[in-house]
Amino acid sequence: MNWFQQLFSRRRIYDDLSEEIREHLEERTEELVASGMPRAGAVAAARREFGNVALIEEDSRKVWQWPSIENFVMDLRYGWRALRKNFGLTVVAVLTLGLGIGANTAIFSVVNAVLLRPLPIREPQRVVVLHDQLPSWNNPRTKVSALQFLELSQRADLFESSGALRPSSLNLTGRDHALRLQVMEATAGIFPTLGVEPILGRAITTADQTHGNAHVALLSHRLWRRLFDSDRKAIGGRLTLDGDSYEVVGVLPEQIETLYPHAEIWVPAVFSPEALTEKYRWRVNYTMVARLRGGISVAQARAAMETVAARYNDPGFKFGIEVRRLADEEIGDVRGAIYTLLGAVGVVLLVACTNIANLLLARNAVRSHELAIRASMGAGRGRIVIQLLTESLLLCFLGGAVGLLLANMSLAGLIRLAPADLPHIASIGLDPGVLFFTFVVSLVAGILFGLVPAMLSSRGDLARTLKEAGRGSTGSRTGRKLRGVLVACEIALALVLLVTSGLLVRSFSKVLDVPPGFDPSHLLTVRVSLPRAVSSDSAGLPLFSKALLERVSAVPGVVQATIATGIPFSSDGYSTTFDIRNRQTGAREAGPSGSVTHVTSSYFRTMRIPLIRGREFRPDEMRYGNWFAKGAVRIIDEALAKRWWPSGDPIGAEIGNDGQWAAIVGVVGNVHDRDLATESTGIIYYPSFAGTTLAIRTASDPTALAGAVIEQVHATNGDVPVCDVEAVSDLVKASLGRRRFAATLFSLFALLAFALALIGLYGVIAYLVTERAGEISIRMALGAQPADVLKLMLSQGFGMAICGVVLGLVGVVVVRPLIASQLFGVGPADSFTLLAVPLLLLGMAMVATFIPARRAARVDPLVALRHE
Amino acid sequence: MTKDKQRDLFPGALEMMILRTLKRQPLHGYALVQHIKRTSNDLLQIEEGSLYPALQRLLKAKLVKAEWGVSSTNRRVRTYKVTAAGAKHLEREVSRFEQMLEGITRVLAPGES
Repeated sequence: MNWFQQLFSRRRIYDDLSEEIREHLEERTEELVASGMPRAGAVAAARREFGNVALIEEDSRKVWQWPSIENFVMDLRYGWRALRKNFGLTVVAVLTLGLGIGANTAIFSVVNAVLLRPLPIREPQRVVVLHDQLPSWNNPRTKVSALQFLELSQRADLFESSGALRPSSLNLTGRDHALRLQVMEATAGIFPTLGVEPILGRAITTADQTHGNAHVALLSHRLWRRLFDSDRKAIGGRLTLDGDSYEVVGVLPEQIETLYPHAEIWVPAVFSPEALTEKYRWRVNYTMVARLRGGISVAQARAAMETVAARYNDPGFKFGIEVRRLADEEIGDVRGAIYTLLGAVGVVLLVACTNIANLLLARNAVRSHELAIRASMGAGRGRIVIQLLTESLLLCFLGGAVGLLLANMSLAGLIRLAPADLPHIASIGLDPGVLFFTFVVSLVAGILFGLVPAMLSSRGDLARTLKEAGRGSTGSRTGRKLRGVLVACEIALALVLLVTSGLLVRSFSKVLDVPPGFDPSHLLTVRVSLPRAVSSDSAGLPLFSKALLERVSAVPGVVQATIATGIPFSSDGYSTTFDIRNRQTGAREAGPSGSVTHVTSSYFRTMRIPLIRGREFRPDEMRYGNWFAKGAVRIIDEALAKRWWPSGDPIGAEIGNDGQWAAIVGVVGNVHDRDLATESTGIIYYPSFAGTTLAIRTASDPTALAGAVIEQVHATNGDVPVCDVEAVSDLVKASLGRRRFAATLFSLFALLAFALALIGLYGVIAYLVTERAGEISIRMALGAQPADVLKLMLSQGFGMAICGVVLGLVGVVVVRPLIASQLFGVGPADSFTLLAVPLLLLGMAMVATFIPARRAARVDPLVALRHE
Repeated sequence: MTKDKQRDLFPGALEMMILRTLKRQPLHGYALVQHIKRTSNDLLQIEEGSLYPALQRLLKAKLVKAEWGVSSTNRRVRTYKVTAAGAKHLEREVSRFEQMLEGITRVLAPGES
């Protein structure tokens, strides 16, 4: 008989068994009656002899069962009934858990999408990125040069293959509108290195990389859809990019867009013979990606690179080559922040579990009579523990389901709140990995909050419990003490979260208060992409720029306009070293360096960057090329002035490179370039027309003028595409995205933990009041005043809160280093936060205690005593 | 309570006795209890509490089979019979038991060394 048939035939077996036993009893009764016993006595005697009919039947049935599973099903049914009976408690517990699990699920879905999902390439753990480290040039981490790439790519002992990448852009013309395309220049090696193959056509080959052959292009999946409607005939088609005709040779798969989301079209990277000479060894503009040879570890590659770099090191020049996994490259700087968040929601869940453990402890205490009866009927301790545990697991999975629902509902908001630069942000969702996580978390939570109460409740003196039951017993001392400890822990955890979020929120508001150094409100930025015909013409570009400025300035609503190579929060300015005339820097000292921005004469007025010394650029000083010819002038920012002319006046000083000089005519205020939280490292302004970024000061809402401005660009030159039209205030806001994300979520979680801890405290005191009603009424009958009772209860709650606060402050010391890097303008020992939060917590704890304590003080001794 | 009683016998002893008894003649539960009690001169207190689970175990292992019938006293009874497998099992168990008994007896026998 297989188990399936057995399942069905079991009913018959059980029926047979019952009937058999019934017959047995009757036969014995008849026998006793026959021997002269009265019938009623005989029935009782037969039963007595036989023993516990139900138990024997059950024991006999067990032979046919899988004991663990059937017990489990029984426990489940019983647990379900118990939960329904305690409906209010169940709802509170499930909701608490749902919040905890939901928050965890939501944050884990971020972790899963951003940190855990493997890169969509072959064996991603073997793919590394190499960077130059040039600390003496103020460039702790930068790209590599073409020459370096070529040299390093020869290291077949380390790398199976390697490739170089450089993002750039090209203008696509010959269609309705000129389009600016984001280009990725790539060497042939990049595709085998990443393990990515074109879905259509071929990849870039080494033959493509020579001068003259380079006019082939691979389309990204996105561009293929956009330009060719995903038509296979795109292969062999031609595109006009910057005036040159390119042949479309292939289409890349969609997966590579998660890695390089901006690249729309891929073209061969071509190294000119000149770029490969020693002179350009430090012209660092390529990203090198390599696939490690099998058996070579990242550490081994690092060691080998150290040997290579050592050749170029001398006392005045520090050089290193960094090797790290491509996966770390992408997410390196967000990992810490996201794991901190995961830690925070973990704490919330812990608080939720503690709360429920407390609830269960209290409920089990009420049920101790029932449990004692079960134990006296022969249930083993293990059996009772398992049964109680089943109930908490049931609770947990209900909580898990609610959590999943909440997470699903909050995910859209989470994605909206997430900083735009969070990688893979779009792929956040509830996938099987996340579901599994939720399942495991629910399970662990169930065991966590179920086991201790179950162990505790199943212990204890049966006889005493049975005797006491019915009377208002004072409950077990251990249970009460444990509940106090749990509440103290909750308060401690909530305090840690509150302090952390307090620090983050204060950092955030301090960052918001940082003056950016210019006025971002009512400022529009538009980037134009110059076709080569314009940009390569040293006379044409100034003409174009002047004409454009004139036209744009004439648009109604425009206050002032300027063109620059980049404006704060939208530039990727390059850093350069320079010399100061008649000044020698020590051999071991880092020379002067700063980032370079080319601006037109109206720049400082348009941006509202204050002039501190000297004067602004004059229109006749503008140039394009001949950067150091006679009459060349520069303006520097205050950071450079303070660093290199700490006591003197930089006006009139001359700076330059290779013995060519330009005079400093002005000093302007510092601006925050990329992030309000980081200080300027120094900017040198060139008076020039080289820029392609328009900045426009408007009288009202800047975005309302975008259309008119674009129209003027097209009117100036129809072949110039426009991109990145943005209000600068939005850019500043976006730069705060990560801080906002962390501060918002942390506050949310901290408040959640805080509320849960208060509910926990309230619950414990309320339970204490109920439990001790008898004792209180005796006290009052003996003359205690309501105030005394109130004081007694308050001191209980206050004691727990104080313990929690002290414990929490210790916790703060432990976690402080974890968030130190995310703080700004507040010390990790910020006295305001460290004082305000505990006080707030204690205050609220008093309120949570006071409500039930007042009830205790109102106990009518007569009523309570009559209960006994 | 049932546990204590089972501990009086070694595991498998009850099954062995049931099989032995049933091999002599098929019986129903009640008669089986009476028979074992009688033949052991009431030295062994066989309880219904352990008999019925033991019968179920034997049924499940297919060492006995059961059939509903009518007894001589005109009562509906479920009569147990030893199967071929049951007979073989009994033989094996009895010889194992005899070996064990002999071993125990030798150890317990006084005087010899």
